[in-house]
Formats: sequence, structure tokens, C-alpha cells
Amino acid sequence: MPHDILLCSDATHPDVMLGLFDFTIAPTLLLYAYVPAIFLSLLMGFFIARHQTSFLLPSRLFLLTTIFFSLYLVNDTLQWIAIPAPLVHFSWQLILLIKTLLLLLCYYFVYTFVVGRDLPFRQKTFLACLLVPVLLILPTTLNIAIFNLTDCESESGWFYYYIYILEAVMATLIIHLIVTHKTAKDSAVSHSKQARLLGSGAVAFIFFLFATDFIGEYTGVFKILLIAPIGMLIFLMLIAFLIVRYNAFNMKLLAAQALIVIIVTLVGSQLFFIKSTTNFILTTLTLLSTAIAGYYLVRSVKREVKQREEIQELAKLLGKANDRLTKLDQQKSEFVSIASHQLRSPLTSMMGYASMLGDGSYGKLPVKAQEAAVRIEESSRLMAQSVEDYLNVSRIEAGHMQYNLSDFSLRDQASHITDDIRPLALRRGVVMLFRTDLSSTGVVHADKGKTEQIIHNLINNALKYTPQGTITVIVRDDVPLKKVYVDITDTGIGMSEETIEHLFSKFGRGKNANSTNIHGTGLGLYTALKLAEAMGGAITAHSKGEGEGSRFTLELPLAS
Amino acid sequence: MDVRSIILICGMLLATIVTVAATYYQTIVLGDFEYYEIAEEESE
Repeated sequence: MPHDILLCSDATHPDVMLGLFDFTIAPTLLLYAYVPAIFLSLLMGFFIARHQTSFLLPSRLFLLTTIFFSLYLVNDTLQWIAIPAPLVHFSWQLILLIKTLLLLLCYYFVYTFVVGRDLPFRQKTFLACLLVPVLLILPTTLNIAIFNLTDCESESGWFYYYIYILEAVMATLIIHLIVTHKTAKDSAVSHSKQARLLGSGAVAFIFFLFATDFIGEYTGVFKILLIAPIGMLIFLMLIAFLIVRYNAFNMKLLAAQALIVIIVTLVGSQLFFIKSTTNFILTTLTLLSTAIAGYYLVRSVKREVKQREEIQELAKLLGKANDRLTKLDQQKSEFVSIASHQLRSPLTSMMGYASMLGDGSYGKLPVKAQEAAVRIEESSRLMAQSVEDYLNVSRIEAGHMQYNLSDFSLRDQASHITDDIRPLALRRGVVMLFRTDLSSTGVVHADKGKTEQIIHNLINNALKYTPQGTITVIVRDDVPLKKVYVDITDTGIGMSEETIEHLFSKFGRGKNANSTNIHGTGLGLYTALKLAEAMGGAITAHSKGEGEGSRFTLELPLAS
Repeated sequence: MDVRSIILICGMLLATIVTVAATYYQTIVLGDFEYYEIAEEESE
């Protein structure tokens, strides 16, 4: 070391780096606290500046902020480890300038991010005016009044306290910016949240700068400055969160990437205070294995994210296709509804006139002509039933079906319907039985007309598929469950499990329906189920298999 | 960014560089600063 340079008298250690720096003076945790902070902030600054694609100003200002923050930490490190007194003094002098520029840049960055455009010229001039006094007094004793060679520490001049005012002004301006931005009508909700988070991070950063400096200045315990980077780390974490959560800066960052970088930095930073060689080797190995594992983890997460994005894209396309199909389905339902209405009127006339011809209202017809008239009437009735089914389906699907709910006895209704159908069943060689197993009155809360339609449908269905045998209608209840059931059990052709699965779907018919030449649209059970469900009930079907008969159960809510 | 802003920023940048250079010259090259190591030693 040259002898004509004044040296800090606390630098007594023989191993002095480059004749300028003595690390033994510094607190043990100095590098542990500062190096990761510098590394993380610069990494984040360059990462954002490199990846942002539109409106580059905020990312560039953020990069400048991180560079000045790193300069601030490097300058502070110099104060701890530099031995030549003029160098230490110079670095004490620079604090005011670096901190001022850091604060101004921080505000400039937050403004451009929150508002989305450059700072107006008037505000830039205002910021420049705040910088001018710092430039004017930087080399004077108003900045650093006295320098103590004993411990290479300085005594601030009265103007140094200007930095506190500046910190307060910048924090106030940022808070004002966030609050006014929040109330702006044109700002999106997510951007308001981003603005609030970013602003909070910036204020936390300024607060830590202020608090550590203020406490250090007044207590003389400058080690407190070692926790100043915490503010920046909060700021960086919030920015990383904004990128991961909201794609801030229009860029993508995976949470896994951010976490791996943090873990590697934390492990790596331990290398700066480890003294033992064994520990150093172990920590280096840990660092390497963490970095390698992290690399593969990030690669795998990236692949998964890519796959997820592709699936989301496909789901979007599928959603669009579904919307188109729904529209087409609606149009089809409307068409069926209109067409069915048009068909129903002439069919009613045909049925009426065929019936009148058949019963001799227009004079006695020859036997063959009478048979023809009866056939016309029957066919018209079947056709009218089909049209009614189509109409019901289109009403249900369009949501136009009206329900008049009231309390009525399901037992009486089922009994009447059974009585009505019994003569027809007997003509076909089917015996119809009716039983009740009720512990309540059997009064349900439903639409009477729709319930009658459902029971008719189920019994007619049983009749269709029972060439001969018995159909039993049982009305029972389950009071604790508040339900009343109508079981329609037949000894007909039965059905397989597979058939039952598709039985209630639109146009779903029994497997044997076509082979046995049974007339039907395949909409009866579908309509019945939809009607029952709309009234808070259900319909279920059971069969032991083909040739084993079937059981259909209508379930409706017991009236309270 | 408009021309006025560029002129302002360049001006402030230049002023900053000049100030830092001046401070460096005064403190490091000339060694012109006040210190009180001797005063302390005397009092001891």
C-alpha cells in the first residue's frame, strides 16, 4: 500500500485485497445480505427488460432502478471494506446522489406502469428540480460535514436530511397515484390490483431505505443498513407475483422458475459467509444439485403448462362449436314446434271426420268403408300423439313448458287412469291390477295434468311391450323421505342393462321396439322424465333382463 | 418520448456526471476533505 494515501485506521488485517479492500472490517453477514439482493434485482431487471414486448418504458425504468439499487449496495459495501480514506469518504458523499436517483427512478417506473404512459414533461421537470440541489451540494460539507479517520465514518451535513424529505415526497406521490388510479373509471379491475400491489412494494422499498438510514444515522449502529435490501426483496417478490398471476409487463413467468431462482440464490449466498472448507464444499454441491434439479423441474413444468395451454385452446374451440350446436338445436326445436303446430290442426279435423264417418253420423257406411274409417281415425290418433310428443320436447327444450303446481291425491289419480285403460288392456289380453301401500294420504305437490300425462305414458308403454300377462300399478310412499311412488310393473318383454341406460335419452327406444313393430317416437319416456324432474320428482326403470318384465317407478314429492 | 424530455434527461445526466467527476476530483485526487482523527488523538 502506498504510504502517502491516508488509510482508515481500523484496517489492520494483513490480507488486504488489491491493497484497497479489507473484508475483515465488514460485518459477517454483509455479503450474505447484499450479494443475493444485487443478484436477484439485476436478474429480475434484465429478465423483464429482455422479455417485455410492448410499451418498453416501464421495463427499462425498472432495469435502471435495479441497477441504481445495486450501485447503492455496492457503494455501501465500499464504505465497509475500502481502506483508503478518500475512497470511503467519496462513497459516503455518493450516498445522497445514488439514493436521490433511485427514488426518482422508482417513482418514474411506478408512474409508467400504473398509468401506462410516459411521465408528463411538467412532472419530469419537477423531478429534475428535486435533483438539482443534490448536484449542487454533493461535494460540499453540507452533504458530508466531517469525516472520521478513526473508524472511517462520516458526520452528515445538515443538507443530508433532504433525503428524508425526498423519501416522504416520493412515497406520498406513489400513494396518491395508486389511490387516484383506483378511482379512475376506465381502469380495469385487475390492473387496479396490479397498481396497488406494485405501489405497495415501492412504498415498502422506500420505507426500508428511510428506516434503516434514519436508525443508522441516529444510533450510529450502521449494521442496521444490512436489512435495507429487505424492502427491495418485497418489491421484487410483488413484481414476480404480478408477472406470475397477472402476466404483468405482458410476459410469462412460472412460479416454479421464480422459486428455483430464489432457492438457488439463497443457497448460493451462504457461500459468502462460510469459513470451513467442508461446509463450503457441501454447500457448493447442494447449490449445484439444486440448480440441476431446478432446471429439470422448470423444464417439466413448462411442458405441462404448454400442454395445459393447448388443452385450454381446444376447450375454447370446443366451447365455440358447442355454442354453434346449441343455436342449431334451438333453431331445430323452433322448426319442429312450428311444423308440429301446422300438422296438428289438419290432424284434428281428420280424426273428427273419420270418427263421425265411423259412427255413422253421415249415414251408414258399408262394412269395409267403416273399417277404413276406423283405421284412418286410429292412424290419425297415433300421428297426433307423435306430434304432441314433438311439441312437448320442443317446449321443454325451449323452457316454455308451464307447470301449475297444486296438491292432489296421486292414489286417486293413478286409480282412475288404471280404470280408464283397463278395458283396452283386457281387449289385448292383459290384466291390470291396482294396489296401494300408503302410510300417508298420498297427496303430492305437482302439476295434475302433467302427472296424468306421465302415468298414462308409463302404463301405455307397459301395455305396448306386454303382449299378454299382467300390469300392476302400485302407489306407495316413504314418509321420512317425503316421497310418493307409483310402480308400474309388467310381465312383458323386459330389457337389458344396456337398453335401460339409453331408455330415457331422446329418441331412445327399447332394443326390441323396432323388431316387435311397436309404434312410438322414442320421445315419450324422455318427455315423461323431463316433466317429472321439473316437478321435483324422477322416473327410474328396472328389469331383470329380456323376457323378465319391467318396472317403471314415478317418484313425486309428498305435499307438506 | 418528446424532444423536450430528451433534452431535460440528457441535461440532468450530464450534470450528474460532471458533479460526480468534480466530487471524485476533489475528494480522491486532491484529498480535500475535513477529518478529525488528529483532534481525537490529541484529546486522548
